[in-house]
Parts: sequence; structure tokens; C-alpha cells
Amino acid sequence: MIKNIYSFFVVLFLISIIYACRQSKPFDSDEYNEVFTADYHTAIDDGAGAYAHPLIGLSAREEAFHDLGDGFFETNFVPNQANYHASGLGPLYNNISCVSCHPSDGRGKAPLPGEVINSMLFKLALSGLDSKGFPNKVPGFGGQLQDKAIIGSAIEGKVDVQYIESNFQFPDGETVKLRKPIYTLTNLYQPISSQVIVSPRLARPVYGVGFLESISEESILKNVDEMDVDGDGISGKANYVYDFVNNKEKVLGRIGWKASVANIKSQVTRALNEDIGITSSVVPDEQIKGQIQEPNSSGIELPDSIVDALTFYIRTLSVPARRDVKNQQIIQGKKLFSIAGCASCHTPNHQTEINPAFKPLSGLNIFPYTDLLLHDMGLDLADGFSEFEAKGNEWRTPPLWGIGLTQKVNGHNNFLHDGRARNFTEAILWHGGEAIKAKTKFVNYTKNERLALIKFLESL
Amino acid sequence: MKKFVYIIIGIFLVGFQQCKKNKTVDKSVEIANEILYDFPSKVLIPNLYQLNQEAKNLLSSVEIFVNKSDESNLNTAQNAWLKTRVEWEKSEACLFGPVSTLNLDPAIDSWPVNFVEIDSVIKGSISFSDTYIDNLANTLKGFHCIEYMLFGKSKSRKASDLTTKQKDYLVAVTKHLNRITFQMHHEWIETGNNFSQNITLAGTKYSIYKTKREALLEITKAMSEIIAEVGLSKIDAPFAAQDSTLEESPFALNSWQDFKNNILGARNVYTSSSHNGVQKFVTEYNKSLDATILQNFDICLKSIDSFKEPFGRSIYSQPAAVQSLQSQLSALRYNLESELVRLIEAKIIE
Ligand code: HEC
Ligand code: HEC
Repeated sequence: MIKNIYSFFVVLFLISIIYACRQSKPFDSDEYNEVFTADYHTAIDDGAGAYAHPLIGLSAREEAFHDLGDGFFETNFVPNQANYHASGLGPLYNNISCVSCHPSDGRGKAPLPGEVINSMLFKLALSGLDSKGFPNKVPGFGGQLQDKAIIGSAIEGKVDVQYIESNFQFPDGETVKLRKPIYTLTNLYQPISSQVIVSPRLARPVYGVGFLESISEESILKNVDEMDVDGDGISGKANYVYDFVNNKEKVLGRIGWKASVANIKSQVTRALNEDIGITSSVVPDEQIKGQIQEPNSSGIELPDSIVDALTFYIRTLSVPARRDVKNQQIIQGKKLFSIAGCASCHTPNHQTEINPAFKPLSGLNIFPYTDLLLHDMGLDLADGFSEFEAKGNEWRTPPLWGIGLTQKVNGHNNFLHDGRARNFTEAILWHGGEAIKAKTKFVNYTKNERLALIKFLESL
Repeated sequence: MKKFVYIIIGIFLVGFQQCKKNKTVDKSVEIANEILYDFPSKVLIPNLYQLNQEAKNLLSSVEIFVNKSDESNLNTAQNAWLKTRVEWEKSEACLFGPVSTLNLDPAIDSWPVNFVEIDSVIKGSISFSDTYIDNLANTLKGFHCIEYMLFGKSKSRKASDLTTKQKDYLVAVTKHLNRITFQMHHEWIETGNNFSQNITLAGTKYSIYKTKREALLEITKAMSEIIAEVGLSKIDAPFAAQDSTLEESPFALNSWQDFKNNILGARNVYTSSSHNGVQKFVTEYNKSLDATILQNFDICLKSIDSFKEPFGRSIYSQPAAVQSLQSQLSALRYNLESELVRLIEAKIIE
């Protein structure tokens, strides 16, 4: 009943607004919807703090819990220090806080040659998977290279980054410089297997992940087309992963560059463990346990309540609104995005599952621009690193919502899993494999069409 | 139900967007322009320049103290630290742009001090080159590390306490502070990386801000952000937990001053006495909001002055007063974050 009254008002307002501003274009309900990327939670903010807004309508208790998680997201961990709430750093780690890799809840930056690597990490594996589907660990190094250590412990090694530059020319003559990274392991504390596979991972933005976790499985799986039955050259495959929080096999993976993580709690506890060297009841052993830096267990360093607060914080981060959706060039760009076939993988719209247990994320209409599925992206992007079902040339379509504010929030436009792209054009030009058709369409667009498409991405 | 209210509000907002007309440059944009023009050159750059000057001064007093470690030289160095801190805390009212995107803030203002590792570093045999210090974790350097070395726990430092190796480290981290404060200034000035241009030329292709309104909102939100930070985080964390170990600046017992300078920094962005501040906009369109904002700035500053004991003790001895300061801060925050932001959104239509 109440719903109906409101709907009535909605319609009334719509009519009156259209009537009141007859000089403007007729109201386009489609475009209006898309301003609200994350339904009624959408953060109306296009500034430096755009990624840091909580969901709307949290209870006071929930808000306090979110803030507690926020505090820990920003907290610096230190090595064992009596009476301090965030202690237990290392002995090996990649950085000392969540926020140092995810600044302003945003994205990490790819290092230039010679720079210290701060917001990026390198996964390591030997070929093949273990019985649960995790990549095979590298003796003496585990599954991730820790390039920092507390004083007195030996780092596992460092990574030297170089870029090979090349030129790309559009049919109309415009040229773009591309750079492809080459990584070399250096300063290793002991020799490493020559078979080691290295997978570079730039820190992803952390906003909006709660919505992605809440999309119904059905809604994701309906886009799976592994055998490409519809013949559009795009298959799309689900990753099924081991959920180590609930000890369940074959759970749909959604999180990370290869969708190798099932839920936020897994991501948080794993980040704590592997990136910062903090153990929890979920991952009670340091990742390097058994190596000379950590011969024995160090016990549980972070209580469940804090792990839960961090998890809740991530789950309840909203997404900024789209901007300029009325702009003609952007409307054209959006069409070109569809025509090129970008939307076949970056599927604009999803619904979240009805969830009576947590109303704020229940039954929402959202615009994340991802199918959350894996795609072969071609040799140039391949890292040769498998995780569960994801092969060495497969990556999860990343969500594009909020991506247009990267420059403003994080001060750069480093895109793709290794941050090699320095702007949207470069990001598109690296698309290969299943996305080759889409890329080719983009390449053959006129200069103005390309510009319109980029403007559309900037409006996300 | 709430959801529908939000949707209706949303439709209103979108609806009003529909109504914009292409007016010739109107008054609101003109005022925004004046504010944006003055902000880098009259507010932030002078602040960052002074910050770097004080940091230089700190370095020379630290070097003098290291050469001749008597109480008087220690005292001079301590005062130089406090003065540097004033400028930094003021600049925290503008935490956007390079200071945030280049991670300059965490490089000099990280907390807690990682005593355990600082001790190990000092005991080790490595010399403290610039690169070595640059590569250390942020909790091993910056303001609070220097604070700890100069003041000891709860201001207990004696000039004779520090070993030669500790003094070497003190000099090395103070030099690091100088490098970062130099960079902060350099990033903004025209002869440097000229981030200023993003503000002064907002709305043109030379800026990351697509409109003047966007840039003005960035400045305004940074102001309200620091007020929120003081009330919700810096004061709230130790207070709510009744745990003074969570205090930000416990060595110099300087937290009240820090909070005050944060607020003064925000007020300096706001007021229009010596330059066109955000206030200029508010007085044009909503005089009573301006009066409220000024009054609430005043109330917060006076409240802080009324505390007689250091912050870390006041949270136990005067909980009611701390709480009422928190509500005053949250009123001010509401003025800035909601009322002022809404005013700007409503008046500048581009
Ligand atoms: C050393 C850098 C680093 C640190 C520290 C770090 N992360 Fe991450 N984070 C990453 C990288 C890299 C990824 C992408 C991982 C992948 O694809 O496998 C990521 C991914 C994530 C994601 C998933 C985002 C997505 O869209 O898939 C979340 C959530 C997250 N991190 C939360 C955290 C939290 C919480 C912490 C602190 C406990 C943290 N991170 C600490 C680097 C880091
Ligand atoms: C076959 C599926 C597919 C198609 C089609 C596709 N993409 Fe992508 N897109 C991906 C995947 C997968 C990635 C991540 C690749 C990586 O990181 O190595 C990606 C990454 C991106 C990124 C960078 C995102 C980030 O977070 O770094 C942008 C921007 C992007 N795509 C835009 C486009 C545009 C524009 C088009 C159309 C011209 C398009 N994509 C077509 C799958 C696709």
C-alpha cells in the first residue's frame, strides 16, 4: 500500500518536472536510472572521497561497526607491541595497512622502473593445482612474494620492473604509446625454482564489492556460454573455487582479478595473512610458516570481532553516482560501447538477491558493468597462472562502475591487472582473445567516436 | 520505505538538473572563480611554504642539538617540532590532490610509532642514507617518530638520554620530513608540478575538475572532512575506548593543539578576511548560515581552549566536556558537509 502511494508520487513528480521544464529534453527514464549505479545507496560525490561512502540506511549499530572496520582498514600494523590493538605485522609482508594498497578505497598504482613497489603484489606458483584447486606453492616462497620484512627477517625477494614501449597506430593515423611490463625476481633470499610462474596483481578498488557478493548466482550463470553456443566469439566461464571460510568446495568465485575468491571474508582474511602477515582464526598460520623467517606458529593475531568489522566495512561501501548522463556525446559513447560488444562482458545491469538477513543489500537494481565471468583475453595479457578453473590467459571482467573517478581519487589512470594501461584507450587496446572483435571495432571507430566512448567511460 | 524517500529525493535532484538553463556566466560562478583563484596562492601554498620553512628550521635545531646535547638545545628543537606541527595540522584541512594521491600524508604522519623496529634499526649496523630511510615503513619515520625521539614518553626526554646512533637516526628522519614537505609545496607551485592549475582553471581542459562547482566542492568537502576526522576519529577513538594509548600525539602531549590547528586550518579556508574564501559564497546566498558557521568554529575553538589537562588525561577527567566538544564538532560538520554543500550544489549551475 505504502509502496503504491510512493509510486503514485514518483509518477506525479516525474510529470510535474517534465511539465515544469518544458524547454529541456523529454525525461529519459533509462538515463535517469543509470545515475544511480548502486540503487538508493548511490553516493552523490564526484570528489576525492567518492569511493568512501557507506551504504544508506544502516542502523546506528551497523554504522558504528562500519566505522570500526574503517578504522582498522586505515590502521598501520606493527610488529608485536604490547598493549597495541593492531600488532603482529609480518615477519614478512607486502604493506603495513589495507589503505596503503587501496588508497581512499581505490586502486593501486603500477610502479615505474626503480620505484619501490607499494600497492601491487606478485603471486607465485609452480604449474598445476593442488587437490582443492589452489595453485601449487613454490617451496621456500609459498604463493606470494613478500618483498618486505620486519627488521631482522629476510625478505623473500624483490621485483625489478621494466616496460617495453611500442607504438600503436589507428587507421586514421593517430598513434598511441603502449607499454608492456617485464618482471624479474631479484634479491631472492634463496634460489627459486626455475619453473616459477609469476602473476602480477595491482590492488583493486574495494568499493561496491558488497553488491557484487550479493548478485544472485543465477543472474551470473545465465551469461555463461563456455562453448560459445551463440557464436558471438565471447564465451564467459564461471570460476568455481574453494571457500576456505566455510570449508566448501566448488563455490562460485567472484572476487579478485581471476574471480578466485568466493566472498569478502575470504578476501579480507587472506589479505591480512598474505599481504600484511596477520593471522586470524580463519587463516591461523602465517603464510610462510616453516620457512626460516617463521619456523613455528605465531598464534592468532587478530580477533574475530575485528575480522568481522573489516568484512562488514568492505561489504557496506557504496559506489559513486554516474555523471553527465544527459550529455549527448556520452549518450553516443554508451551506444558505441554496446555496438562494439563491450557490454557483452561488461554487462551493465544486475539485481542483487533478496536477502531478508541483510536488507540494505537486498533486491537492488545495480549497474556494475561486469558479468563476473572469466574470459580469454589473449596472449598479451596472459600471465600463465591458473587458479581453480581460471587458466593462464583468463581474467574476470572487472566492474567499471566508479572507474571514471580514478584520476581524481587516486591521481592516475593505471588500469588492467598489472596497471600497464595509463588511460582508457590503452586499456582497450590491450584487449585480445575473446575481446578481439570489440577491440577491432573500437580501433575502426572514427576519432570522434573513440572520444565519445572514452567520455562515456569517464562518466562511469 | 526509506528507499522510496531516497528515490523521490533523487528524482527531485535529477529533475532540477533538467531545469538548468544556459545562462551567461552568472554571479555564483563568478564568486566560485574568485575563491578558486585565491585558494592555491593565498591559502594552501603559503601554508605549505611555511610548513617547509618550519621543517628546515627543525632540521637545523636538531643538528645543533645533536652537536651539543644540552637541555636548552633540546628545548629549542622541541619548539621547532611544535611549530612545524602547527603548519602541518593546518594543511590537513586540504587533504586532496598530491598529498593524498602521492601518499605524502602517510609518509610523514603515520601512527603508531613502531618502537620495536626503530630500536632494531638503531641497533643495526646500516647507515641511514636517504634511500634507506625513504624505503622504511611509514611507522618508522615521520612526525611521531621525531616527536618520540625529542620528547620521550609523556614529555620525559632528557638531553642526555639519546645515544649517538639515536641522534643519527633523528637527523636522518628529520631530513626525510624535509624532503616530503618540500615535495608537498613543489607539487602545488607553478614552477613545480603546478597542481594549482587544476583549481584555478577548473572547468577547462587544463583541470581534472570538469566544472568550477566540482572544484569548489572538493575544497569544501576537505574542510568538513577534517572536522569529521577530529570529532569522529582523533577524539572519538581514544575517548570511546577510554584508552589513551590510542592518542595521536602523546609524546609531546600536543593533541589539543593538533585538533585546534586542524580547525584553524579549516577556518582559514573558509574565512574571507585576507582573501576570497568559501565564506564569500555563503555571505552572498545565505547570511544566516555564514553566521552559524563562524559561530560554530568559535565554539569549538573555545571549548578546546577550556581544557586544562592534556587530551590523554581529559578523556578520563572531563568526559562530559569531551563529549560536548564532539557534539559541537558534529554541528559544525553538519553546517559544512550538508548545508554548505547543498548551497553550492543549488547555486552553481553550469
Ligand atoms: C600489498 C597490497 C595489498 C594490501 C596490503 C591489501 N590488499 Fe586488498 N588487494 C590487493 C590486490 C593486489 C588485490 C587483487 C587481488 C587478486 O586479484 O588476486 C586486492 C583485492 C582486494 C579486494 C577485492 C576487490 C575486487 O574487486 O576484487 C578486497 C575487498 C580487498 N583487497 C580488501 C583488502 C583488505 C580489507 C585489506 C587489509 C586487511 C587489504 N585488501 C590489504 C592488494 C592489497
Ligand atoms: C571478452 C570480454 C570483454 C570484452 C568484450 C571487453 N572487455 Fe574490457 N575487460 C575484460 C577483462 C577480462 C578485463 C581485465 C583484463 C586484465 O586486467 O588483464 C577488462 C578490462 C577493462 C578495463 C580496465 C578495467 C580495470 O579495472 O582495470 C576497461 C576500462 C575496459 N575493460 C573497457 C572495455 C571496453 C571499452 C570494451 C569495448 C571496446 C571492452 N572492455 C570489452 C573483458 C572484456
